[in-house]
Amino acid sequence: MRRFTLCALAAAFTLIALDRRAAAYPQFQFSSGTNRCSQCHYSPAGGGLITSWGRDEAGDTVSLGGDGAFLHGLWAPPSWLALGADIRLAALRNDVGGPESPEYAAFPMQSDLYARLLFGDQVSLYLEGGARGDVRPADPSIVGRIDTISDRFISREHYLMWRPSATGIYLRAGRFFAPYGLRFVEHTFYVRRYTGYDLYDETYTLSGGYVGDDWELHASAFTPPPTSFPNPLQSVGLRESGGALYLEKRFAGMASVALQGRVGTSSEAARYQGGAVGKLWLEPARVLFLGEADFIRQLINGAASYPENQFVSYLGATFFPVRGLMAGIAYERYQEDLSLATTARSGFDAEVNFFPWAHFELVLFGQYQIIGSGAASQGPKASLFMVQLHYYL
Amino acid sequence: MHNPSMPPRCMGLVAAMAALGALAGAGCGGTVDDRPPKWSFIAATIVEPSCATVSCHSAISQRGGVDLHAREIGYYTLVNGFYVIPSLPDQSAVVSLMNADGARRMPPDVPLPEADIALIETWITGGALNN
Repeated sequence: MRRFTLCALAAAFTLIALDRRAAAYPQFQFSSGTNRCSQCHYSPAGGGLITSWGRDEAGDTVSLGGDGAFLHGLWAPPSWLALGADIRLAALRNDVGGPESPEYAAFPMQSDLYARLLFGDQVSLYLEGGARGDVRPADPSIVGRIDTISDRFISREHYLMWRPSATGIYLRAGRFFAPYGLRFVEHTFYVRRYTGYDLYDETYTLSGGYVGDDWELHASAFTPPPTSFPNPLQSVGLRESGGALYLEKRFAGMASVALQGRVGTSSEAARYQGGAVGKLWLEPARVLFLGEADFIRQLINGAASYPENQFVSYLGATFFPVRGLMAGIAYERYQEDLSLATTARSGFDAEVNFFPWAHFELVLFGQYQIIGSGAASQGPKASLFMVQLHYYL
Repeated sequence: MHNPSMPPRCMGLVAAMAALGALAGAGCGGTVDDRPPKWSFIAATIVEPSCATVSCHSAISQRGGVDLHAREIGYYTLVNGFYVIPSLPDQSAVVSLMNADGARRMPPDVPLPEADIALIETWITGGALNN
């Protein structure tokens, strides 16, 4: 095991290939016996580097066995330092119709390194860095592409945080997503992609709030990186400045309801969105239900006389039949314009996550999308099947 | 750690979840497209969210030399690169790409609804103005 661990460590630092996202599994809230996301993650809203509690859960609750500690427990960093890494390799079959479908691809999906340094008892610095990558190989005959590893380096998250204790008030400033929504690991889910939380959409954010045992509140103000920033610090997506609010109330360690809102403005549009998030854990059936629904209203500069009203949602159920295994199904909906039924997208997802040993995960993910209104839509269909191998240090 | 029985107040949550699910599945809207065939609208609501993703036509990737991350640069990229031929949607490569007509479909992960493609064709037919 020691030899394997050393090889894995070496791989973590050399296989910089593709960075994916701040890994978070909202399915583990309640189902693993953990009430709030920040028990397992250093971030007060969840996601990213996991705490010693999270590492214990990974070994004792989530996986079939093993030691979830850093380096499999071979070496423990000093108390002021926490380290970690994520590596994902993936293969997929994607079919959207047309002469080049289906396409097959195998690629390194994620390589992230994390460090969290604690100064005194209340202040910490969180750093993350990795490399972006592609499902599809670049065409060397085409200019404008970034293909070297150094050009692909990006730091999605880096922030300074004041947090006197695990529960209570906190304040953090730096680059990270303003807390909002279910914060799935899969960035392609509609509730991430169409709400300003797609891959590398992270903004520079000032966020504060309160995290208690039964409720939490996060209030944030955000702005995109200045265009003068180098590529590793740049973000993608809406480039909005604004604010977000997320309020979650938990019930009896088995359910939660959250209300949320977000306002963002850019040189092109103003965007107002709000909605709700819910989770319900049914212990006897070992099923967790998750849902999110958001309404979005956009006022576009130059076309402000036509306000664009949108709707995006997710409803899923995740089953935990035995330790080390979770299987989920979900329905997603995105309606680009609520006044026009034919602008809808529907997604049907199935996912199996197998955790044979602490630090290891096998993911099987399938998605079928119907573009247009209803199953009888004449619009294109799309199917995706993906296999992922995930190792975290 | 878990509460094996469901408190009565959680029953309300179940109902709320069910309502959320019903809402999620609800289809809305009519069939008449009143949206403005203007580039400002098309860029913000269709092109940027669907095409300017990180590994595709974002500012930092510019796959194929195409940068669609913002209204102005997106417009000039498409028109100056002859992906859009004003007034001639049938000869505009962007239409062929969106329809997977002899070319790889764009976007390659979530195809655009036919209504969006039709709106873009209407904009091109109207001269593909930067309006």
